[in-house]
Amino acid sequence: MNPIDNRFSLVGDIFNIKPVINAAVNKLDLFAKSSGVAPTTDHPIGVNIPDGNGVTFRIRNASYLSGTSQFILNDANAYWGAVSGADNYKIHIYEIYDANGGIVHALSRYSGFYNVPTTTTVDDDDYFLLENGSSYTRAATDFCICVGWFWANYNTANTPDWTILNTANLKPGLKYDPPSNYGYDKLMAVSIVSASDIPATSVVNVVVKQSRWYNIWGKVNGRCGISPTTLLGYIKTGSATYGSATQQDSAEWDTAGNGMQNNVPLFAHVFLTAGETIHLGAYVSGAGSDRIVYAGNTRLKFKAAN
Amino acid sequence: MRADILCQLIAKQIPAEHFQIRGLEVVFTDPEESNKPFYAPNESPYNTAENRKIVKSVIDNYDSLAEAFLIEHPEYKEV
Repeated sequence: MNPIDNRFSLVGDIFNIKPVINAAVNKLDLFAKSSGVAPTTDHPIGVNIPDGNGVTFRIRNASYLSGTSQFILNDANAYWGAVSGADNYKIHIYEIYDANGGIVHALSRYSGFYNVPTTTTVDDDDYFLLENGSSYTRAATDFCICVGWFWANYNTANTPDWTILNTANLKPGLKYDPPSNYGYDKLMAVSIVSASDIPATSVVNVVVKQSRWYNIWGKVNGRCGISPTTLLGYIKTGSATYGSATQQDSAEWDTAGNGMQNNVPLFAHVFLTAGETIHLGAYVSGAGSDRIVYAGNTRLKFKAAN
Repeated sequence: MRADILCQLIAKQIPAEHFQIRGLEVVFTDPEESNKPFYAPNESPYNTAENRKIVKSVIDNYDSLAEAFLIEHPEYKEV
């Protein structure tokens, strides 16, 4: 047994990794705990990474593909669709095992990914931000595992825009393969106003990026100026084509009151394969005047049910 | 400009089921919208030069048309 084998003989799933907030608050270093700097031969880091046939313990003891072991959240980049303001975002640290046998560090908004998403669009919900300097090319066949997280705030009024948090209960943390927290709220973008009945239409839609069970909530808010009014809401899943998707839930509200505005609530618990679509559908009919589906209160929320 | 009033003004000249107001935009409806992927482009048969001209005219003259409409339909003042 060589010294490296001996060193790892008693370790768990994550070895010697330490996330450290840099003096520049938009940077996070992923150091070897034993040395306090990037991994070296004497101070390697290690992690168990699944490869489709169980897990294999991988080590990194030097820079790989020019990666610097440092993440930089750059200005004017609303990674993962972050909204500038007071909200704090939990960002997850991943280790990727590439086809050439090296470990690449990456960040993602959500836990629960096991293969590397290939998108290079920074505001996509499955975007992987690579360690600074890395020349790694994202490949869906490469495996990865979530090993930790940190919290950050995005506010373009600040300099830099991104601030990695280090307050008492929002410090960086390590945990091997935490449960998926994938899912979010999506509001209807703009209201629909029509002088005729609004046929059943997909008013909010999301393509899920992880294969798993989901809890899905929906709310459709609408009205018609002249009753009788019918407001219908639907959750449909599967096909990107609304008319071909499978209905999971529906709800109806009828009223004889002119101009009354109301919500219909919806819920579904369903298994979805990555790439399938969730639709929130809406329908409004009435006897006259305007039929409206309101953007402000019509929303879809989905969350991994693990 | 109020979407509900704009909608009613346009509906005087274009069949109501041929268009919707989505946010600040007049969108000609695509009868096949629900039969193709949500990201497919709108291919409305009602998106004609004549209809676009009507919409532009209504928007250009919105203030005077809306004023007349509100006299005709006082119930819209309460919205």
